[in-house]
This record gives sequence, C-alpha cells and structure tokens, in this order.
Amino acid sequence: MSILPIQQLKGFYVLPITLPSPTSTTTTSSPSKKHSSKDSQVIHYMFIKKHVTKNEQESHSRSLFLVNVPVDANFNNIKKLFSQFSTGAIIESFKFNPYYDYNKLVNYNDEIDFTALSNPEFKPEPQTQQQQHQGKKGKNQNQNQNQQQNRSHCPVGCAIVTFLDKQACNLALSNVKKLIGSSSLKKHIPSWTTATEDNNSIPISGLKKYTASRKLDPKQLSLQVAQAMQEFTEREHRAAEEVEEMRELVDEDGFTLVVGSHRKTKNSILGGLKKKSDLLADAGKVKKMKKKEKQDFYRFQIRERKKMEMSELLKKFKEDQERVKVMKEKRKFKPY
Amino acid sequence: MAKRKRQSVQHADASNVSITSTSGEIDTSDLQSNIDDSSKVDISEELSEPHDVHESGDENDDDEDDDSDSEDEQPSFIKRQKKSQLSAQDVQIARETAELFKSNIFKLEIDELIKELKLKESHCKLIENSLHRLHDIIQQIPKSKEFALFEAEALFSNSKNKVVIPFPDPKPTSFKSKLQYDIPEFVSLVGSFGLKTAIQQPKGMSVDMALTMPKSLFQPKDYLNYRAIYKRAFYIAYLADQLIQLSKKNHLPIKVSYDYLNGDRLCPTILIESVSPEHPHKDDLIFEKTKMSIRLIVGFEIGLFESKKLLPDRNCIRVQTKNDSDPLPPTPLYNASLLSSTAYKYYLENLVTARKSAEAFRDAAMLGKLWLKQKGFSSHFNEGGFGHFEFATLMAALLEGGGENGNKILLHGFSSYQLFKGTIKYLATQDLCNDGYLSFSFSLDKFAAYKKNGFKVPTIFDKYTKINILWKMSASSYELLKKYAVETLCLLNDVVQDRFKPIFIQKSDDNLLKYDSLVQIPLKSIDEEGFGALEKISFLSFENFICSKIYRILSKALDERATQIHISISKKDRPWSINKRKPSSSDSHDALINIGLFLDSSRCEKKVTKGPLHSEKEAGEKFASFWGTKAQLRKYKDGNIQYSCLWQSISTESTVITIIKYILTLHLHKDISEKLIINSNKFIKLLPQPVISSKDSTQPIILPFHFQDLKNSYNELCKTLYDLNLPLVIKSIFPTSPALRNTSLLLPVPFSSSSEEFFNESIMQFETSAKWPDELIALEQTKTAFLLKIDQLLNKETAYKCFLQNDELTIPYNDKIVVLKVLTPEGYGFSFRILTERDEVLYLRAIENATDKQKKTVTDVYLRFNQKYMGSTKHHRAVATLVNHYPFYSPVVRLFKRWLDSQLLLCHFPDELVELIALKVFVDPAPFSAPSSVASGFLRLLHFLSTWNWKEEPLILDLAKEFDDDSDKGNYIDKISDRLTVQSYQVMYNNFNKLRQEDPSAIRIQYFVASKEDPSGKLWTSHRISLPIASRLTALSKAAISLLLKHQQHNGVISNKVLKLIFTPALKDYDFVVRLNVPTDFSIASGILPDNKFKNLVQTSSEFSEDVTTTADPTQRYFEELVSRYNNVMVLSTNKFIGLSDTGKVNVITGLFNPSVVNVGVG
Repeated sequence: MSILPIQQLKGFYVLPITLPSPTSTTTTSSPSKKHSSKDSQVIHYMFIKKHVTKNEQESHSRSLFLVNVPVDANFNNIKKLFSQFSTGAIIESFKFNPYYDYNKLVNYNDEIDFTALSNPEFKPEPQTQQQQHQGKKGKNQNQNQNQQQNRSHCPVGCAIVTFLDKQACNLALSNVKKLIGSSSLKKHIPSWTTATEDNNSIPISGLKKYTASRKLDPKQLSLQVAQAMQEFTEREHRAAEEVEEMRELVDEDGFTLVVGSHRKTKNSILGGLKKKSDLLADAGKVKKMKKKEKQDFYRFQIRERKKMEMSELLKKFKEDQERVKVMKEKRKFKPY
Repeated sequence: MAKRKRQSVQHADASNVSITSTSGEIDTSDLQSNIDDSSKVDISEELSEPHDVHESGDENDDDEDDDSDSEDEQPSFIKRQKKSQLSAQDVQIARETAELFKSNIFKLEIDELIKELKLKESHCKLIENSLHRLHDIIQQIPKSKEFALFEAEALFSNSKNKVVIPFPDPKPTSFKSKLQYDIPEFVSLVGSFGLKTAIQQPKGMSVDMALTMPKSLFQPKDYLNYRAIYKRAFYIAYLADQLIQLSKKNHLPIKVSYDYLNGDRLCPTILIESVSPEHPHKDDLIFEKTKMSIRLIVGFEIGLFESKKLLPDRNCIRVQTKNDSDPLPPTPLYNASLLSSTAYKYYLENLVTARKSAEAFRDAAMLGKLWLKQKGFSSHFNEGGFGHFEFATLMAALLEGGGENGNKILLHGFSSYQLFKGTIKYLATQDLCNDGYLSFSFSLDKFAAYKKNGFKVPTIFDKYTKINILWKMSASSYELLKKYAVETLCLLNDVVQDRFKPIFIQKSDDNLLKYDSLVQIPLKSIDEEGFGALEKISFLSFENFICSKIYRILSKALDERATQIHISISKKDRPWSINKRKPSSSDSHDALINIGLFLDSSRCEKKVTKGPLHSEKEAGEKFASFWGTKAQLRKYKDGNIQYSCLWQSISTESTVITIIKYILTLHLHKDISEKLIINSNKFIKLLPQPVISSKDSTQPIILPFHFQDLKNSYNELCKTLYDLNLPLVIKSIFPTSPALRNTSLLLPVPFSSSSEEFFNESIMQFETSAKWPDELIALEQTKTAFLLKIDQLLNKETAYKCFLQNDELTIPYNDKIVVLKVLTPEGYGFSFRILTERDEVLYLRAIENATDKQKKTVTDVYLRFNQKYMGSTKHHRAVATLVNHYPFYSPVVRLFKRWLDSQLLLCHFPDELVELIALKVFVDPAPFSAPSSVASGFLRLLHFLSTWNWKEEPLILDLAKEFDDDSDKGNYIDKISDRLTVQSYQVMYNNFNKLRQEDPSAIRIQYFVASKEDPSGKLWTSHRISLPIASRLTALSKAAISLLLKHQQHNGVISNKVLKLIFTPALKDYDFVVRLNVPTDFSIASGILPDNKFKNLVQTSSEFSEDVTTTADPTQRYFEELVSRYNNVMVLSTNKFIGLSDTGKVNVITGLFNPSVVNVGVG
C-alpha cells in the first residue's frame, strides 16, 4: 500500500520527504536503536504544482510552485532534493518567502521598505525620477521590477523553483508524479538535507545553535556601517544635485524656487505645501475668529442657548437611562 | 423643591391606571405598606381579625405609599409614555437627579439596585400569612401557674417535647422567685421587616417578632443578678413547648430551635423555620421556599426597670469578692442587654416615624444595610456589632441633629443618596469613641447632639432609654467601621469615575482578602486562665474577654505599625436544639480567633521599636516589663539613649509577624507561636531567593539592597558615559529596565549573566543635531556608528567591558538596530540603544507615504517603536515614583510575575503591562484599601483579575502621586495635582468604546489599560497577547483564588501543597508540550538560590565568562525562533525563567493550534 492516502490535493502533488531526525545526528546508531530510529523517521509533506501567473500560461511556465517548504530551504538543498529523483532538470533559481515574524506585525501581502517610505526621495527607483535617469538606470530598474513581481507572487511560506527551461520544469514535475505514484515510494522517499550541513558558515542545529555567540564583530560592523553611510551620502548627494537643478530652473512665469542652505531635499521644500487636512484646520481657525461676536446679546440667543442646554441635559439623561438598562440586562445590579 | 414634588405626585396620580395595569409594583407596595401598618399599629390588635388585614391602615397612609412608590417608577414610566416629546417633566427629573444625587447615572443605578433588593411580593404575602397564624397560636397559649425552679424543670422533663430551659451561664441552682408564663402584653413585628427596609439576602433572613412579657411577672429588683433573664428563659421554654404542641393543630408545620440574639449569650430567642411535612394537609402553611425564618424575641416592657440603675458604669451582678471593700466592676454588657430587651418596640416605632417623616429614609436604610453587609458588618457580636438597626437609628438621630450644637446633619428632604452619604460622612469624620459621643433621644423632646469627651468605648447614647446603641461594638470593630466609612466617603466624593460598583456591588468581607495580614489562633489553645468571676460579669463570655485582651496587647505592641487591628471569632453560633440548655461546646471547639491587621506600609517593616528615653524612669520600666528580655537601651545617632527593641531581619517573615509571635508568647501563652496560623509568610517565601543574601538589609522584603547596588553601578556607568568624548554630547539616558525600578522578578545579583533580566536596558539621547540622516535605515546605521565609537572608547579607556549585538526582533522591517551591551566591574550588565529626534518624524512620514494597503502595518511598526523607545521611558518614570510611594508594590509585582511565569503566561505579557495591571490594586484599591503586605497584594490582584471583565470594562489607572504626606516640602509646581480629570477620563473611556465598537469580541485587543502616559490604552496590550491567553489568565486567576479561599475557609490553613499547586502549570490543556533539558544548571547562574540548598554551600562566580552571550538560556532563543516561524498557526508558551524550575535545567514549550488553521488542514 502506498504510504500516501492522497497523491493530489487541490491541484497540488503531495511530495513526502524525510527530514533528518534530530537523534540521528547525536546518537550513534546501535543495533537495537536502528529499528526505532527508522520508525521515528520524520516525514514532511511538500505540495507542488506548476507556477502560473497572469502573464505566463501554464504551458509556458518554467517554474514550480512549492507549498509547505521546510523552514531552512535554500537554493542548495532544494537542488539536492530534486537531484535525488530528477537528475536532468537544472534549477536556475529558487525563491522562498519564509514566515519569520516574532511580533506578528509583518505584512506579507505587500512589500514595505522603510528606506523608501521614510524618505521617498531615496527610493531605489523613484517614479518621479524615472524619466530623468532612464538612460542610466533603465536596466537596473527592469530587474528590480522583475524581482518585485517575483516576490509579490510568492505568498508567505511558499517557494518558487525556476528551472533552466520549460522542458526541465516539465521533467521535474513528471518525475514527482512518477515518484509518488510508484509502489516502492516507501523505500525511496527523498531525504532533506538541513541547510547547515552544506553551508558551513551557519552553525549546526540544537543546543549549539542556540548557545552560539551573538556578539557582533566591531570591525565587520564598522565596515558595513561605513559602506552604508557612503551609499547614503551618494544618494544624498544625488538629491542635493536635484535641488541645485531646481534652483536654476526658471518656470513659465519666470520664477525660480528659493532654496535655503539648510534644506537638504526637494521634498522638504515642496512638502511644505499645504495638504487637505491643513486647509481644514485653517478653516477651523477662521471659524474661531468669527466666534468672537457676542453670544448673549439678544433674548433669542439666550433662549436658544437655554433650550440647547436643556436638551443637552435631557440627552445625557436618556443616554444614562440606556446605559443603566444595558447594565441591568447584564445583571450588574445583583449584589450577591 | 416642595413644589416640584407635588407636581410629580399629581402626575403619578393621574396615570395610576396605567401603572397598575402594566406592572405589579403597586401591588407589592400595597402589601408591604399593610405589613408595615400592622406592625406600627400593633400587630396583636389587628391580627385578632385577620380578614381585616387587606384593607387595614387608614386611607391616607396608603395613598402616600402609593405615591412614593410610583415616584420611583417615574423615569422609566415617562419614557414609555412620551418618548419623543420634550416635556417639562422630563427636564425637571433630569435636573433634580443631577442636583440631589451625584449624577444621573448614580441615581438610576441606585433605583435599579433598590428594585433588585426588594423582597419578593409572593414571599412577603406568604410570610405575612404565617405571621398571622403564628400570632393566633401565641394568643391561644394560656397563662400558666407559678412554678418554683425545680418544679419548672420537672415540668419540662416530664413533657414529651423534652424542652430544656435555656438558662444562660451561670445556671441557677436555687432561685427564690416564681417562674410563670402569661399571655404577652404586646406582640409586635420589629427589625428590618417591620421597618419595611428588609433586603434580599442570599442566605435568607429572619423576620423578628417581639413578645413583651407582662409587667405582672416581675418585681422591681429583678434587674439584678440575672433574675429577669432567668424568668425570661423559663418564659421562652414554656412558649417553645406550647408552640410545638399547638403548631400542628393549627396547620403551621414548623421546626423550633433556640438561637442567641446577635450572639448575646443573655438573650436566647426562638427560631421558627418552616418544614414540609410528610403528609401535607391542604391548610398547611409552608414558607420554606422563601428562605425566611421567624425569630421570636421575648422582651420586657419599656421602663420596667429603673434605667438609671442600668447605666453602663453600674454594676448589676453582685458577686462575692475576696475583699469586700473593693467596688465591683461595672457590667456594661449585662446592663445594655437587659435594657435593649425593653426597647424593641420603642425603637421600631421611632424608626417608623423617621421613615414617615423623611421620604427617602427607607431607601437609604436599605442602601446602608447592603453596604454593611458587603463589608461583613452586622449587629452580631462577632460581626462588628453595627448592623441595619444601628445604621437606621443613627440616621434617624442625625435627622434630629447630631452636630456639636445639636444642628441637623441630615434634612428630611434629602434624597436616599444624600441620606446615605451624610450618615457615612458622619461615621467617617466624627470620633464617637475617644473624642466624644453622640447623645440623642426620640422621646418628647427630640434632639441629638455631639458631646465632647468620649468614654473610650464607641458610644451613641440614647438619653431616654439609657442605652448605648453601640454596646456590642468594640474599639477595634469601631475603628474598622470608621476606616470603611472613610474609604467609602472618598469613593462617594470621586467625581471622575462612577464608583457605584465598589460601594454597593462588590463584596469585600473575605478575611483572606480584606486584611493585610491575618493571624489566627485556635481558641482551644488558650486556657481560661485569668478569666475569673469579675471578668465573667464584665465580659460575659470568654471570647469577649480574650479578644479584648489580645487587642490590648497587640495595639500596644504594634503601635504605629498597624493602622487597625480587628479581632473577631471565626465561629458563628448556630441555632441549637431546644433539648439543650446552650449550644454544645464542641461547636466552639475549632473556633479560631481572627486577628486581622491593616498595616501602615511605610512603618510596618521597621526593624526597631523605639520606647521612652532613658531618663524617663517610670515609662522605661513599663516598657521593659511589657517587652521582657527584648527591651534594651540603645543609643541613636541623634544622641538619645532610648529603650528599644531590635527585631531580626528575616527575608521570609514580615517584622509584624515576628513581633506578634514574640509578644503573644510572652503575654498570652508560652507555646502559642507554634499554634498560630499564619499564611502571609508562605507567600513571601515564594519570592525567588537570591544567592547572595540580604543580611545587612534593613527591610529585606520591601527594599532588598540588591536593587540599590544595581542602581549605584548604573549611575556610575552613566556618569562615565556622559563624560565620554563623542562627536555629540549625550543629553540624557533614560532607564527602562524592570530591575532599575525594583520590579524585576529576580533580584539583580552580580555576575548572574545567565538570567533573562541580566541586561538592563536604557535609552540614550544625544544633543539636538541637524546632521542625522533624513532616512530611517541610514539613521539606524549612524546610530550604530555612535555605538561603535562608545564601544571602542569604553573598552579602551575604562574597566567596563562592552560589545555590540544585533536586535532584529524588536522592530520589524528595521533589522539594522544594534544595541550596546556593557558589563560593569561590579558584575552587572546594561544595554543601551539610541533614540534621536529624527526617529519619530521618520516613522510618521513613513505612515504618511504608505499606500492604503501598507498603512496598517506601517502604523503598527510605528506603535512598536513608540512602545520600545518612548512609552517604556515614560512608564519607567511613572512606576519608579510609585514604587517609592507603595513599598509593597515591588514584592507584589515580583510575586505576580512569578505566578504568571509559572503558569507559562509571562512570555505573552510585556513587563510594562504586568506592572500596570499590578498597580491597579494599589492606586485604585476599592473596595479594599491599598495593600500593605505581599500576600494581600497578590491575593487582591488575583481577585481583581478573576473578576475583571475586560471585554466590557477598561482599566483606567490614575498614576498620580499622592500629595498628602509631603505637602510641607516642594515648591508650588509640585503641588499642581496631576490626578486624572473628568475630561481625560472621558477621553480614555471613549477610546475604549471606540475600540470595542471596532472589535466587539476583543479578538485584536483584549486588555484596555490606559493611564495618563498612554490614553490610547493599547500601547502595551496589542499584538503579543491573544484571546486564548487573556481568557486563560482570567480562568487561572479564578481557579487560584477560589482554591485559596476554599482552603482558607475550611480551617484557616493554606498548606504549602496548595500554594505549590497554584504555581504549577496545567500542561494537559495544551495541544502539545515540548519538554526541554539543558545540560547546565541555570538557577545559581541566574542568581537564584535553589530551594533545597544552603547559601554557604553555593558557589557564586565573581567574574564574567569569556562571552556572556553564550551563557544565556538557550531555550529562550529556541522559543524565539519557534514563535517567529509558527506564531501564525499556533500560540506558543514557555517559562521565561528556567532557573526557577525545580532543577534549574528543565523547561517546556507548549502550543495551542489555531483552530481555524487546523480545520482547514483537515477539510
């Protein structure tokens, strides 16, 4: 009997893989334990189907869409996995959007870049600059757009494996089908290699991982900071140039923009322009001015005001009654 | 006012028809007024013609009652009739209530409460019929012949009911006068039922009926030596015997037993309970289901004895003494009991008059009764001796006067709220014990005035009857009542919040919760030594004697450490069989003496008790004889040589308990200290003990020196930092760490680098500069550059060791945050992060620039930043001030954190939130007072959590400092109160309402905890906590508090096993449990002394390991990773402090799957 009760689920193929058991790395396998370790083999199920986007039809796609990917998936171990049952298919790239969110705050439906948000001027490819720098940055931009597209099409916890060509992709998928359909699957479940084993820069799992030093190397850090600062200065410089350009620009009416020496960016100058909310606040100010006229001069004014007060009082009374009614329904008046 | 009233009365008349047709209210009041009328007129006359009852009472009376009742109904009634119209009537009521009551809502609440409290109409009718029948039976009992004592005893022992005469102690052996029964002069309904102020009570109530013995049975000298009381005892026995015989015949199936009236041993009464017979007859009157019983009180005619002879300072029990020339001590209790027995009917009549004269008297009396009940007060000896009767009498007296010149305190036109508040205010502000007393009279020349010079006993003296209304009160119970009155007055004066609930609805009479410390002594462990004949006649019972003795000892010993000492007997005497003379002594066998202490938090932990100066010889000798060997002469810094006692400082026992143990051993019984039941110490023991003991600390419980050492090291470090030569000058360093505000679960111990709380965080700010980058991530990098510089300077130039560490978790999307960690040579760790003036601007700009889809996330990120960098410093400042103001806050919050951690909850709550919740019982303690012990604080906190309905109630805290104590110092700026105003309270309340409108089932945000520092109320409560966790906290606190109360009530002892249970997690409730073992022991490495080890055997390290980041608890990092990866599908919990586990090596991670995710998987 196949170990898979279901081979296909909502268009996905169910691919079982064995995860390295945590005990197998630490305990040397004694004959008595061998049996049990095989039993306690951890099986993980991945769900695979063809990656389809609006632009790319199924028949044209050269990517596979993976759901429930092991948390440590990367290019290397995905490659290793596919090589176990589909040698011919060469993987070009691997895109994985893992869930990692301690505070439950990350929005996986939308990309958020605080560099861009906190200062739109420093966006990697600002829309406003598109025309001006087209020549310089055209290629770069296309790539970026591509990436963004890729990313936005990869939901959280899922991965996209792109193969070299369509054939390779089809081959891989058909191999998956063949594998899970075969009666001897139980013996040939592909195994997963943890990311640590083929990439020595990351320490191993378990206690060692969690007791690893967390100190930052000051030298490396200062290098990194210095580099980042330099990049930032460049960008700032670019922005300053823009401002400079603006100063020289004479508009249709023959005015030039006044640029103070302290203003660093274009936005901080143009940002001074009023927004809708500011205008509303101004309207409030105007109203306030109006209010200075006497309110209790005519009798009708006084009468009106009294009436207002009265109805206000009554309104509050009615509200209170409602509140007490609600409280009563909730049995708030039972002292015992 | 009068005019207005008339208007409303007319209105009610006009609409009478509709009222009666729509509601049953009027019928009830009709009946009630009938009962009342009959009681007033005198039940005996009316009951002789029972068919009269339903139309009895004169017409006018009836009308009046109708009106007053329908008036209560009016608001809702008017609403029904004219909903939309704006009538003058409406406006008038709205205005009236706003003026006469505190606020509209308060009046409406009181109205509803009164409705809720009223007795059921059907019950009243039933009990009324039963009373009629009982009255008939009593009238049937014929006059007996005269019996001598032995004849009387023989009479009963021969009769088939085997009734025994309930003679009080001492039982008469020879008695010259004759005993006789005669038809009672009057039978009248007394007590709250008679006064129409009875309220619903969960345990049922008794309707008091007073029988007046005919005058002819007595001789003038019968007030002496129990004579009248013996005669009454016979009268009662005869009555009981006859009742049993006649009740069956008259179809009133009843059970008859004896019961003392309010615990007065001299005054037995007959308690009549209804029973359902096996073969019910159709005429049988059964009132069992009403839960009411009838109590027959046998009294004497008013003025039967010359009342002057029974004044409180007279002796009326003549006993033989060794030395005849010594005057006998006064017998105030005996005298008052005798006099009270003559006045049941008299007081009822006068109270009814008062009720008639003041419209709202009845409602106010009901409020008063409820208030007393919730505080655990009643007329009973053991329950304070101040109940409904005393409250109503005081209120009636205050309607006549009560001021120092006899000026009126209450006016007849007052509303029920005003009457209630006025009476409470009188109790709160006038000293009726030492300074003066209230003297009043209801007879011909009505008056009441406050007189100077009290009698040292609580006194409200009736000039006419010569009764001290407060004769059952002791000084200790009076002090307690006064304290409650003061607290309630404060609540009534609160204009900011609606305090209805803590005043009337919340019960606060549980011994475990209401006292700061409760010490119990088994009554049987004290022998009756010293309770001689003279004591017997002045105290009447051993219980009274011992209570007053203990009170005397303790109030002297504790002095200013305790604000109130309340001593009572735990046992409530129950009714006993009529076949016994008195309740069997086995009942009192396991009775406990409860010593309830209210402590002065700033004084109770002092290690020295100072006595008189050396030069004062006489006082010094007294002091020495009181304190025994503990008294010694000590010289103080100010040069004084003073008698004093020095108490050893033990970190697991409160000083007060040490003193009590010592002084009771000295003065009460030599083995008493082992028999005392003290639960409060066990709670102190639950606080984690540090490996380095607090031996030289003066107040190890409330102020361990560890915190001070940490602060010193911190200040030292800050000074160094300020002096560093940096491109920008450090402007300020704000601490945000719990240990720096004394609220960390573990005491900071040097070199305990494995502790979760080892690094104490601070926020550093530089002087203002325009050069910070105008972009968030670059700004973060610039901060890192500064930290690198500091790191380099400190490492090079000072003894401090530092390093930098990444912080990716704190603020999502900003993974470039770096913090500086500093290790001091003293052995402490600090961490610093930088805040600039650009940060907030940039986050806000990010929100502005975000697309609609991004906005929510970006806003949440900003809130997270706000919480970490700005909210935490504000919170720290607020709590650090309050910690000094409430000395017990620190240990209570630490214990609370321990409990949360033991229940795997602490990992879900930010420290700040835990501290705010714990502050609730300190800044807003109602219905209790601010706790002054670890146990009371912790228990009240649990109690609050168990009753907090966070879906519907916000927690709004007033974190203002109190100004009463230090008003003499400080300039005027300090005096501007920073208390919450109505406006700011309203703002927060509206925030809560808005939040709940958006999220009615509290899925996003469960707790709303607002204060001046955070009016939004969700700064600390969003994101981390989830609905199942919040519900779990409520459920666990409920379970814990009910378990504790159950065990406490059972026999007073809360065993260590029970406490252990409360601090053990219920792992079965989770979907899965991961058990973790780590190879090294984390208890000592975290600075915790394991339970089973001795301090001197523990090896503590005195230097840091090579890399302290590797010695941290790995389970926390594992947990962090699991949470980061899986918190979208499950709720994970763990113990934050592995060092507190049994071996210091084990931890668990538990998970609850999100049901929606699991279901999708299955489907």
